[in-house]
Amino acid sequence: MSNALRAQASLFDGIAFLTLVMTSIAVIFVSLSGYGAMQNTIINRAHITNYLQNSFKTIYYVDASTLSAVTCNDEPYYCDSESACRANTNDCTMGCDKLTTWTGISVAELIKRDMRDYNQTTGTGLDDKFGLASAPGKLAARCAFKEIFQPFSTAGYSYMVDFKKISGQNAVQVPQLGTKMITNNKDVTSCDQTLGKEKLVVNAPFKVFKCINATPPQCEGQDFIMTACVWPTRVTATAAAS
Amino acid sequence: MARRGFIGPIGDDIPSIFPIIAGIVLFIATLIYANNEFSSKNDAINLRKAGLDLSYIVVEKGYVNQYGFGNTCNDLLKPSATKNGVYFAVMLRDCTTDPSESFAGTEICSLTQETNAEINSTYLTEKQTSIFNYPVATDCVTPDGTKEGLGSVSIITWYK
Repeated sequence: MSNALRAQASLFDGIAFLTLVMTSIAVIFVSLSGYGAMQNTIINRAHITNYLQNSFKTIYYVDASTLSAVTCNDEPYYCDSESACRANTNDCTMGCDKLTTWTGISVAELIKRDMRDYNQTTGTGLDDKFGLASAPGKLAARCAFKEIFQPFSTAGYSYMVDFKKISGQNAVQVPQLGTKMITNNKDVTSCDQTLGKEKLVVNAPFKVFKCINATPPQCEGQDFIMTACVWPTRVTATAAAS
Repeated sequence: MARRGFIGPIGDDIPSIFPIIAGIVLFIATLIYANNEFSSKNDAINLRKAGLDLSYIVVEKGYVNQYGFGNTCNDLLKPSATKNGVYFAVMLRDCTTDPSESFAGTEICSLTQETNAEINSTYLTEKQTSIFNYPVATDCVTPDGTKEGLGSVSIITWYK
């Protein structure tokens, strides 16, 4: 074998080795780029789930009157009159100021008072009334959850809070009367809707006691489920409303 | 008979030595780099997991009071942080805290490397931190007296 051929053969060995090394390096970099992504996703979802559960606990303590300063923050969807708000941002009112007089009652208690007259047949649910009396549970919930989910709204997530009445094996959604629901997304009416694979839902029992005038007074506990869900919409609340 | 063109057992392979050495150097460098990256990612994940562990304890009740947090701090939070090898601070924001201000609020529990370190943005900028924020009910001073209003807690964790 000539020197030239001998050198060519050994050079081929070197290049083959280099190719093998480059392939190994490529495999290492591919593994490296994906490493930790799944763990981060799991931690993020655990954080959001904990956040949702914590929001349920929080409303049992928060005095409804402390939410009276909550405003639309120039986000027309939250306002009583979207058109008036769009025309003149100074005219944005959400109605939370009506909670000023509800001192000493928590948001959860106010929601329960609102839902105490729930009647599946007539459809009265969250309507800010208990019978004919004022019980702004839905309003308090809207104001509280707007503040609680503000970081998510700003980050491009939508949220929804709804209630369901347990009836045997079924759960019937409690209607939220009026044009505004407890959400920042006007296209959504229930957490049961298909809202993408990144939707996270948390449920919590929500017992409401209902008493009727009798001798002796009779009280029964009605079983509800409080559901909160969040999902990314990639559009911030402000941008979606404009 | 002398073999024509034979340089020697090593001399014959001289042309291949350069790509082989380059390959070995590249491979070792990649291994070192990958090892550092894996360690860095593991550290970041463990830091976040430690923060999540602490946050479960902090928001256990949904209500956090500045003055009633001592037992939770000493009995639960500090041991948990020590077990995970992290330092931490829990900052409570009440109704009056400016939400736009970073690391604002009242520090209600912390474990720091230094004694009585002031936890602020200057202190934390130099560290790799993980932050979790949660809404909580807390005492708020209003014109009508102290009421339970909506606040938030920030759980900040970092390594040395």
